[in-house]
Amino acid sequence: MFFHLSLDHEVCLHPKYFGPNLNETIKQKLFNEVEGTCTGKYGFVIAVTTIDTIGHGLIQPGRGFVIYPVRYKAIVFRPFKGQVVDGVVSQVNKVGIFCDIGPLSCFISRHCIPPDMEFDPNSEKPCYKTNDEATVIRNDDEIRVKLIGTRVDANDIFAIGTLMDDYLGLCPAE
Amino acid sequence: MSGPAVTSSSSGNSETQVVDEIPEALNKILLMVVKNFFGNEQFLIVYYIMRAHCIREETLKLRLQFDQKLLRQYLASLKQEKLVKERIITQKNENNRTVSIIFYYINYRAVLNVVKYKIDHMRLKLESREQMDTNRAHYKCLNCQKTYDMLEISRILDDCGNLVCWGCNGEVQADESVAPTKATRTAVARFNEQMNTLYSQMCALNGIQLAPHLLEPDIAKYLEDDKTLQLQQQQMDFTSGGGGARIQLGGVAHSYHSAATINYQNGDAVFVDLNADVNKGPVEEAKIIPEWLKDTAIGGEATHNDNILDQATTEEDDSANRNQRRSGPSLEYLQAVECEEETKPVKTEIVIEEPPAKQIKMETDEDVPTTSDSANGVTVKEEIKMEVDDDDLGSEEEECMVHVAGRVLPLNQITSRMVEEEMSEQEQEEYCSTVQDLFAFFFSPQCSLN
Repeated sequence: MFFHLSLDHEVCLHPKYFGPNLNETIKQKLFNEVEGTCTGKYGFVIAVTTIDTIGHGLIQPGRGFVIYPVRYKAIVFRPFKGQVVDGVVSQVNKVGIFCDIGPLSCFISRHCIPPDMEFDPNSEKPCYKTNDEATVIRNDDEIRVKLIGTRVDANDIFAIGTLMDDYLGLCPAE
Repeated sequence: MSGPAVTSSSSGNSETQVVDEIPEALNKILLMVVKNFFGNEQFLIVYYIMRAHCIREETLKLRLQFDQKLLRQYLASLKQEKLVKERIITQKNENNRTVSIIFYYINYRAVLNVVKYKIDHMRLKLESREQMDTNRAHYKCLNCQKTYDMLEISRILDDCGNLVCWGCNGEVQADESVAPTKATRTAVARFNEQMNTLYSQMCALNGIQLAPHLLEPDIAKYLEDDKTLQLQQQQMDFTSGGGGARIQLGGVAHSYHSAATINYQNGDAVFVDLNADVNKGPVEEAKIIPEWLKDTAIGGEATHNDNILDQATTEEDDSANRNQRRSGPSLEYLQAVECEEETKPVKTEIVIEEPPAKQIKMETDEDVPTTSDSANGVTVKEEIKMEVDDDDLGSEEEECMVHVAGRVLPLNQITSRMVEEEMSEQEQEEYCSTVQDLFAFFFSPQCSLN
């Protein structure tokens, strides 16, 4: 699920950047440091939308570095159990399917794949397919997954999903 | 209870209906829930409460025949589940003591919500169980036996797509023994399918509101009903048949005068009528037991008359009168009795209620001369006629032989003249003892008079 949140961050800047483009440098550094990261509390920071305030810099004693407190708004992605999301298959093996839902990695166990789909290791790309090959899931395919669990670490989130529900599985090609 | 009788249909919301009768669907839901999720006893309790709308605890106990402790236990569980409500009323009884009367009724206000809540809880529980089964350790290291669940698979997956143990670098494989079965995966779906009937009944109750008198029944009304019912019950118990009075403290439940009678209709069936005195109408007065029939007559043993007497029966040709009861004990005693009876000629009939096969009619009449005791110089005139239907007794008669002047004759052929004139003293004594023995035998305690 996506959220638009107001967050805080401290940007540490080398004295060499002190000059007329200081604010631009701070913004750039904020984007670099924040976007694409993950916090257990808020999830994945997708993009910074606005910078609300850039506070007064605090010179670090004995170093010369300056820390600028920045308040900004960002779009974050926080996966929840029961959520249905689209992902791209990244790996297929006998234990199941790995897929990427944006920055989130998700594993679909063999037990959570419909029983009519079987693993075929001998095809060109390893895949899960039905007997009549009407449905084939292989690498880089888009699939719709329902998240059945998440593991949240300090700076990472891992999810497990299932394909065994209505309207889940391979997304029809557009 | 034939469907909800709608009385009014408005309360702000136009879709709400106020009903005067409990909707059939609501009762159905209640019974379904109790039957499926509680025990049979609870189901019966709820059923009876539902039938009666409001019921007293004693009445419920009486109808269900449950132990009070057990009944209260079940009711407590139903109260805890908010399906049943109780109301306690304190009253003073006729002894001026305060008694509390407990009434139970269905908590219609909460039933539907309770059911919905329970169903939701069950569904959540099933879902969490399904999830737990899915997330359980499915991967096991072949080397160190360490197990991993699905959420940890990202840690053990190497770049080649193989699963490698995080601790020992051993090979990790899927553990098929703990894999979720089809039953666990489809549990929620199956649950929804099974609950479908309940859901449909719930839908039928949408927008229906119960009238206040259904939610809180008028206990006073049920209290009065209960009293009249109790009164009727008492009358049924004690005045059925229209006669008997209630036994007072210290009274006798069944006495000789209001005795139970036992009728032997045939050899196999025995009918006991406890209200015989009531049912029969006018009852014959109890027969006077002759003095010589009492226990003391023959050393406390003889309480019975039986077919021995007919063996002692003699037919005197010159005597016109017959049928006098005869006892076997001592001739002196018999004499005394006979003398008494001679003075007041009474014809008495004793009917002993026994199986017809063993029924004996004894008719005693006085002034029948027969037995005499020449030794004492006193003549005892006696004739006993006994009609014995049983053939077995006849065979016993034939076995009793008495010596008369050196001849051996059957006992029933002995006449008083023979005893007086022909018998020697020794023979007379022998005759007396035989008669006594036979008497004692037939009046043994095994056969008792009714």
